[in-house]
Amino acid sequence: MLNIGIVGCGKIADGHVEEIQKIGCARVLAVCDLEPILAEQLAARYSVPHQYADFDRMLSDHRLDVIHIATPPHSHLALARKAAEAGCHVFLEKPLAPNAIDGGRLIDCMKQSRRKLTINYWYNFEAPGLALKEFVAKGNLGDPIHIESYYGYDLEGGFGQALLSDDRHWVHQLPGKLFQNIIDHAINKITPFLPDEQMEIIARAYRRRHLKDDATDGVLDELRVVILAGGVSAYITFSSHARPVGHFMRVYGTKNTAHIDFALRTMSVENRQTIPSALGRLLPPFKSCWQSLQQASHNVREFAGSRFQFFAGMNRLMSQFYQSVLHDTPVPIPYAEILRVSLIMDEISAQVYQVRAA
Amino acid sequence: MRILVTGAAGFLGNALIGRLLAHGYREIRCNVRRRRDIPKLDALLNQYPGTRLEYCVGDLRYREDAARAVDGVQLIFHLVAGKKGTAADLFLNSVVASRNLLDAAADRKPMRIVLVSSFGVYGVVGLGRRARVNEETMLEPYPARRDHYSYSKLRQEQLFWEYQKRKGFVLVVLRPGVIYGPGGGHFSNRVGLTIGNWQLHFGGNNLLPLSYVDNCAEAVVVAGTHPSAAGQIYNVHDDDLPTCRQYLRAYKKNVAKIRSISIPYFGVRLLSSMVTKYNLYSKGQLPAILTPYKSASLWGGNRFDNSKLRSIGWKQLVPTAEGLQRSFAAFRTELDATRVKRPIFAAAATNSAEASTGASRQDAREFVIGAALGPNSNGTLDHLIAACSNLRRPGKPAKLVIFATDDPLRPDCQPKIQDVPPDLCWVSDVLTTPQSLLECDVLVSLQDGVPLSVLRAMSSRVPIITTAVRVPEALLNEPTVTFIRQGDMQELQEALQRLSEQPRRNSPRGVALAENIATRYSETYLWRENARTTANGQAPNGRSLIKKALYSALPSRQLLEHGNRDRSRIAITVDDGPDPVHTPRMLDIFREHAVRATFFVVGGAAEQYPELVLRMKDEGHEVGSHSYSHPYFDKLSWSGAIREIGMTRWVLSRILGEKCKLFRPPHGKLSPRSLIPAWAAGHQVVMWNVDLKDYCAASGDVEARLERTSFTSGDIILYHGINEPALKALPRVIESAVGKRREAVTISELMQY
Repeated sequence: MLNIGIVGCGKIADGHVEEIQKIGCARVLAVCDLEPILAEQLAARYSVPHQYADFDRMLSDHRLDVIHIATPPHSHLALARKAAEAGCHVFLEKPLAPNAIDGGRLIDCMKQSRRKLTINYWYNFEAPGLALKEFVAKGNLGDPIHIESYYGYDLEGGFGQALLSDDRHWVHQLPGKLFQNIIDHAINKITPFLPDEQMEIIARAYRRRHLKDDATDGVLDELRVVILAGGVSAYITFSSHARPVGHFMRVYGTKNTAHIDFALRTMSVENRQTIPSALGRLLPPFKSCWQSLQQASHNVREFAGSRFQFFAGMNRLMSQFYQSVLHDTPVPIPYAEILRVSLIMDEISAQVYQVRAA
Repeated sequence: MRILVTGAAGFLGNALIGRLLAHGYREIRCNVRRRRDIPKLDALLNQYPGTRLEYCVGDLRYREDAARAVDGVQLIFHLVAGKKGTAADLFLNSVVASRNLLDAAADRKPMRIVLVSSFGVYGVVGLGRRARVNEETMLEPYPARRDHYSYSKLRQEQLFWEYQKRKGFVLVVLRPGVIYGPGGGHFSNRVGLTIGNWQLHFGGNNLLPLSYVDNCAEAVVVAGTHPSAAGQIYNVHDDDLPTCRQYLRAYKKNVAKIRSISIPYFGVRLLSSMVTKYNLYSKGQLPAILTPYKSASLWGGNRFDNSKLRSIGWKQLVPTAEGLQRSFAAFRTELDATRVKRPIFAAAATNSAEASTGASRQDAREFVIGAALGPNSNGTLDHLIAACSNLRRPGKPAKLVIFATDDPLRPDCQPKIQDVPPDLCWVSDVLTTPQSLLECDVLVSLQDGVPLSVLRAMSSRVPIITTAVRVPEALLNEPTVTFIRQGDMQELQEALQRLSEQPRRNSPRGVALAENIATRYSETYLWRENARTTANGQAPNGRSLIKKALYSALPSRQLLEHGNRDRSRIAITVDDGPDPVHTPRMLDIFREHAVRATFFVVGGAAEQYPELVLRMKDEGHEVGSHSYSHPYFDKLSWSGAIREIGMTRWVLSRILGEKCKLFRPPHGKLSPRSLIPAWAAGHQVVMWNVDLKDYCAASGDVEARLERTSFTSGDIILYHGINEPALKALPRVIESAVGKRREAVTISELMQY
């Protein structure tokens, strides 16, 4: 049984505790937050035996195996370093760090202390994300040509309102502000397809919402990014206004094209047509219909089997990470990918907010 | 004494500032989170000239802001609390903010703090149903089992008592029930849950502990300042409480007709237990929004007691009936405001001179009359233009928008439209665009049947003026439709005048709705618009071949194109009508020329003018059916076609007292949907072999056509006579066709050998 400690008892911490409690091989032993009231409520609601306002004390009081860091990104490096020094593996909330330099240091520190690290890129571990991985591994996609990654966001939601009503919210301290906190989810889907070569990135952003005449007006809310790297291109679209709030990616390969809808949890494949002339145009809609039906029935089965959870991807990622900790196997997300996401994010922040990491 | 009100811009905060001012307190510091909240509070000062409020913009979740807010105050009304969001949000906004305030204020002397807590802190589950809840009732023993809001409010209150014990300041706690009023929520959870458009009514006949916002604010002031209130707790609710059911009923009656399902308490318990079991079974796949514990807390049903509050002199300022009335009126206004704003009609703005200034458009907005033109609109357009110019609207001119539903615009209408002064009329360049229709104050339909523009106007609640000729029964019951007699200019003018004097409608309008209604009616009654072949009546070649084949293949008692060529008889058949303008004149002409004709009448019109149908019969003419609303039968559903023929058959038999034997499909469309139901109804289908095309005639057209036409015995002549040139040409038609050699007979006589 792995002993887990959680630092940072904000909104996402609920999700972490719930998913850990569903995994058989781990238990939450202690929670910690600089604000003791937040640690107290989390511990009370999920029956966590210990709560702390001091991270060092939590580390010294208990022999914890894994620390979940769910604090704002500015504290990630310091907390991860302390956790690694105390011999804990780290499960980190995205984004990795405010910039790629800190991110690199964080990864180096974990490597040096021979502790494992993973980051909560959970969408890639949802059923359609894994299906895509398998599809690519089998060679059905061919070589990737282009990837489109779309992430929609609702600023009217709880988090959007929290940051727009508070100009001292930590999101405003990030170089990439709102984008940096969110679009890791859009970037991390394309990094596995990008060759390890020099990237050319073009990022453009603007604000579409009405001005409120306060400090939060500086937050841009629409972003478009083009990435070119070694013969593969990618688009990233982040929109706070397009409705419905979509979340999908398309991967164009030399053989086929795959469309993965993370909002609906479906994956469909557009095959190359082999039947000539008008018939070739007649059949594909039936095929796509059939695929939709298959996906729908798969999702119904998942629901009936109680596997259609909101954080199913996070649960799977956690399980894989814990297994890698228990059996000392490779971590579920390669460090190079995590760092690459951070590098791309740095470049986007630099272009849209004109800030360069020192 | 300097007073601090935290959360001053909130629902209760605003009312509290008002009550404090009314009680004569003047040194009031308002803590607001955003600078833009200030004007709302400043507005309260209008009633108290010479007074001013002090503002402290800050977020109590930050210690430095809390310290700034409490500096120099002796009395704090703490109203700040999180209302929604995750548990972390609620604790941050309620508990952490309170802790910061207490850290900053508790050591100051003298200090009195008034906390507004909540009914949610009581642990009522163990009390049993109908138990009385007063200030002695125990606090919730299992707060984590309740909703996050109640938990955070309980923790907030506990924190205040902890600090009070340690620091010794004066603490007064108020626990309001459901605070309501204009600007507040429409439904408390105690009434039930709102899911989509449905209200799940769980509250049954439980008492709803309402507290009108001003009454609650008054209680906060009274308890907060009363000397004997120190260290006390007060329940706050009004005296005359309604039940949840009464509230819901009153809401439905006064605000909006929402849909609700009433679930009795045992049902709620059952549902809660099922939801909880599924949540556990599925490991949280669906959230446990209902649990037996939460349900027992909210909907178990309690009685309430505010006698302690009354004992220190609180009185209910606003009676519950009046409070509800004020709230419902405000809720209604809120709902109205969410409706679609009136779009700006670009065409009108560019076409009218005085509309170029926005202000004058507001004051003296033109009265926009839409006109749906189609075949046969020639005569009525004159009337409409005249009626439009004669409309008595001092300073508010009328505008005519022509919606051409024929493409291109009817050639005979074009010169007339060109003659109209341009500031009075323009032609809509986009045909029947729903947007431009919405801008019309009235739509006048100048064509037969129900064009799409009428359907769209009807669905958008745009008033319609139309004749009852060839309109489906469904339209007859529409309240927005005014029916006038065909060709009656006086009636048209009166209808327009009446509508122009009414206030402009303010009804929900939407294109989606329009599309829906169009879909609903189109199956049976929609007229094909922009059909290029409708006006000239010329069937395409393929169709005419099929017609020829049908004429030769079928016996004439089933389908008749012309009569026996050997006998010197011809038949003049008149389609459409009856209408009160043209039909009597036509009958006069026939009488003068001793001609017996066959009238194929439209059932809807016959129903309206039975006297004309009877006159036809009395004068020896024959009457046949021409469907009920003159639709395109090939566009109808089978049921629609059967209804069209059956209804007309019934209408005519009622008027004439005998069965009608003849049927002519509208537009001459021979399709299975017109032929089979007609035969099944026992009709003989009568076509024609000579068409003088008088229905789209300009002056002189019929005469010119007559020159080119040679009549032979047995001919069946198609005529309409529904416009002035056609009526004028009718005597010449009779002379040419009948002459001295032939006799004009009815179809039945033509069939006799």
